[in-house]
Amino acid sequence: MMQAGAPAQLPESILDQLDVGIVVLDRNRNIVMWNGFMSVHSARPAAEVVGRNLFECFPDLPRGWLEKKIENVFLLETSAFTSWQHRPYLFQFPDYRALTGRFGYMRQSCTFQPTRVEGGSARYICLTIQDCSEAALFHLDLDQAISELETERAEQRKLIDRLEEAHNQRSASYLRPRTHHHRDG
Amino acid sequence: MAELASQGNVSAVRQAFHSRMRGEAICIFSGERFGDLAGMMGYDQPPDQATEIEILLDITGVLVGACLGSIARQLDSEIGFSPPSLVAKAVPVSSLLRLDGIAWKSALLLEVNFQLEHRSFACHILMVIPDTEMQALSDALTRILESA
Repeated sequence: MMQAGAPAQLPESILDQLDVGIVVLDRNRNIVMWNGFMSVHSARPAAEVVGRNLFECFPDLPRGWLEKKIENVFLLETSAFTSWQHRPYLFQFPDYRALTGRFGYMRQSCTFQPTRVEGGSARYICLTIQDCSEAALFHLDLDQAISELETERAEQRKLIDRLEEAHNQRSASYLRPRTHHHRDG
Repeated sequence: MAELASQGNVSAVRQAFHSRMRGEAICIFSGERFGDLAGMMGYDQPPDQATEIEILLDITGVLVGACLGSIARQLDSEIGFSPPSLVAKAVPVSSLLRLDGIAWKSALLLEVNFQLEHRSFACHILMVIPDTEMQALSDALTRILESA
């Protein structure tokens, strides 16, 4: 992926500027890499967390489930995912949208990817965290619109039922005098 | 598919993959009992609706990753996966897929059936590689046969 002639420090600065969180973990769940996105949103600089155990640094993480997930990625060497739609967030990052935010915490979709360093036998997991708060907001609006439409539809249904009822009553009352009339005659 | 139809409602999860050949896998789950699976996947509480879906997505990722990952390894190619997503939950098989909008004429279909002993879990995985991607697969096979 690296271009010949590119300065060696370039990739790292790119990783730090990405709008995606990147965390690399070793087999013992120690943090090996922590990019700019993670530092900014967790308010924990790389120097504070790199080399330390993920669960010690972040005791809020759902440990039992996450341990299993990470272990599966190491064992099966296949990617794993989480989606904000089913699990709103992994890391409790405060929602930073000062004006439009409506969630307490950033909505996140994450991928867990098995990784090896080229030439080495050590295995790592690359965890990426994507901020999905924007998509979640759209979904929230959409859900709201749908439920409003459904309420409206139910109201309309009620009105139609009442109209039909009134109509039936009217036709019934039209019929009654006529049958009377018929019988009388 | 017809065989599945007799088993009542099913849930399905899709996952796309891309290596030398691209395609899509779909994992069809019969039965609706998830309590059993939740324990195995490290959940310590009985699953709610969102957790049930998450479990289905997780299992799909594991099984599809295992199947296609080992195929890719044998073909000596890297494979990547997109996040799995839910197609449908607890619906009759007949309403699962709409085949009229499909672009390919023929495709390679791999089917794997899973069943867990002593547990009520069963699922079917269909992996579909459309004809347009087949050249890459046949190239990889040729390379392997030539190097053997």
